[in-house]
Amino acid sequence: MTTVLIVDDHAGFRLTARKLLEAEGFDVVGEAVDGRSALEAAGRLEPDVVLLDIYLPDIDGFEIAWRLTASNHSAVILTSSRDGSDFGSLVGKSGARGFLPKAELSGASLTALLE
Amino acid sequence: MRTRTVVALWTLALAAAGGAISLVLTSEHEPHKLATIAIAAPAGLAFVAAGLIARVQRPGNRTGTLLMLVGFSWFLGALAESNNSLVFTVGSATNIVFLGFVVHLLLAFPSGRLESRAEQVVAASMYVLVALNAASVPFFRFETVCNGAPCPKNAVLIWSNEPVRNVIDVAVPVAALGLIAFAIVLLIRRWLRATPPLRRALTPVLATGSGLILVLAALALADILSEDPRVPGSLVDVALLAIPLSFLFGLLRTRLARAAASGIAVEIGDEPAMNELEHAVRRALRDPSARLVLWQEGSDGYVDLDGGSVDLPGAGSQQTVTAIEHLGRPVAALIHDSALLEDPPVLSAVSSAAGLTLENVRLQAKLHERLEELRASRARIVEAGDDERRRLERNLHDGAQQRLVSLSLALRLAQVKLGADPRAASELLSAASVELTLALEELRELARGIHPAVLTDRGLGPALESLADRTTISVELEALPVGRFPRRVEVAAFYVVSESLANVAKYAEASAAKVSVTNRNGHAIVEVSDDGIGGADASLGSGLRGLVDRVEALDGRLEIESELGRGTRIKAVIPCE
Repeated sequence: MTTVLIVDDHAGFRLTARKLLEAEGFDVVGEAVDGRSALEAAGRLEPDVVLLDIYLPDIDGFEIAWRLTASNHSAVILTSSRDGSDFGSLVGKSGARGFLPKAELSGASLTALLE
Repeated sequence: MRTRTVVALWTLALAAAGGAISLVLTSEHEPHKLATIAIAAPAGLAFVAAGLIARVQRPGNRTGTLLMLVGFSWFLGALAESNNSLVFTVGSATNIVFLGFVVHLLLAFPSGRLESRAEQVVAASMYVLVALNAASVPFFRFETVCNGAPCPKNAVLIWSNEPVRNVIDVAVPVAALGLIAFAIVLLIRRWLRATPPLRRALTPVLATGSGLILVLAALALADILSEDPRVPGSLVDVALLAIPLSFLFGLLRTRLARAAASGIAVEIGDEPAMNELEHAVRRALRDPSARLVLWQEGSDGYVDLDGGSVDLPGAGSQQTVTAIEHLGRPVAALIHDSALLEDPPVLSAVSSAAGLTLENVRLQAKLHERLEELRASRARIVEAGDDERRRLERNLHDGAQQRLVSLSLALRLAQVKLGADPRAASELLSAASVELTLALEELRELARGIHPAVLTDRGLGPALESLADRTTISVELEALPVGRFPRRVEVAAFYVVSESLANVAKYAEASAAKVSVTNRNGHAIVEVSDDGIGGADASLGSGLRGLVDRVEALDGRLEIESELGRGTRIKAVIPCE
């Protein structure tokens, strides 16, 4: 089962995303509310996927993506309530596997990006 | 001096000249008739003319009167050309009266006043000598032969004594020579001590006056030492003529200086630096020591061009202050050589030109300041617009957008669960419905913040009532407009009230606020007051600064009274036209 770490400062999103992904066969192994705790949890839990919100209160999501992909084997999927086109080439340069708008989150869409 | 008086005095001078000419022409003892007429008559007329011009231009200065007195007394000497013994005798008694006035004139130039004790003594002594000379006439017999022709007799001879006459013949010229020498010393001393502008004024008069005095001295010396003087008397006429010409030269120089003064503004251009203006003033006044100082509002004093305070020259100083005013209020002052006070037209022209230039500079500065204010205000308005858009985007992102994202995920989850767990799906749908209601409410609030629809649809009164209802503190609407204002006025008035009430709620620690909007003389008067802690400052917060910009953009004004501990009162006056 694919393990997932959800990183987002909105508790409502974390809760709903966890329920949705678990309902669709993912194993949500942890949650983090900011960049610092995300780096710590990723190092500790070594999830297959980190679902990472771009706007975090402390460190920019792109920066975390770059650090995670440099030191971990986790695949990073960036997410935001904004559209991916708002970020231009930043997603590609961050080392993340892809970008998924929050409103389009589902097990299928996540799997599609991981393949 | 009135024109009638000028005409009368000039007519009298012409009549005196005419009389003198006829006496010379008919004289039996004047060998150089034409030469005497050609030089002596113009000399007298030139003195009177220079005196009249000086009186008209500088009515408060006695120089003009002294010049005229020299001119008229000079014509008295022509009586000695008469063949009639009585007229001849009067002429002989008065032919050196002019000398008293000449010495007085030279010593008193350019102020018209005898400044020092020594000058007063010399001038008075010369008058006494002139009077003694006239008084001695009844006591000696005249020469029998004048210039090879028989002389008229002394008509007032009382008692003639040859030794006494010889004494007088020597004593009067010697005393005159002594006084003249003393006068020359005084003039030279004054010239040496003079500042450049005073020296400039003194030089021509000193030169011509000294010339006359030296000629007179030579003549007197020759008279004492020789029975047949070789110094021609017409030299006196020439030397005398030079004096009024030097005065007229001074007047011409004044006119040129005035023309130079009027060129100050042209010379220094539209936006002169203050030190350029000061240099131009120095050149126009020809006074290198002249300084331009600026009036400082508030301190009621003058500052120099670097902003330092200025000690104005006091009494007894060689410098004087001439205030420069514009429309009755002080603008600046010139600190200049006191000698320039004797040149009022130049001083006045330079002051006026400098005043106009300074006023021009002030207006330019004011215009620049206003432009800078406008630029800053425009930049703030643009910045406020950008900030507002950022705030909206953030609010949308953090509020309604997040709720809609959650809603989307909840619906998807419900869809996943629908088959296996319909009850869980139903709960998810109920939660989604609540989330949707909240998202709609947030969107409505946001839209109201962008622009309240009630303001557009129903006007300021209902919009303010709605605003008062939603505000967290108690708001009393004291007065609301009945009719409608132009839309831009309503929008500005609404934001004055909404921003003010938001500030009251956030910072004022107030228990209540009052709002009033009235229409007075074509202006919307918007007032918001509270009973809070006061201390609001438009320069510290972008909210109030934004209101000031918004109101001023409509040519209105915003007043803020916010004394600490006494609440805050904000008043906007916005023209409706």
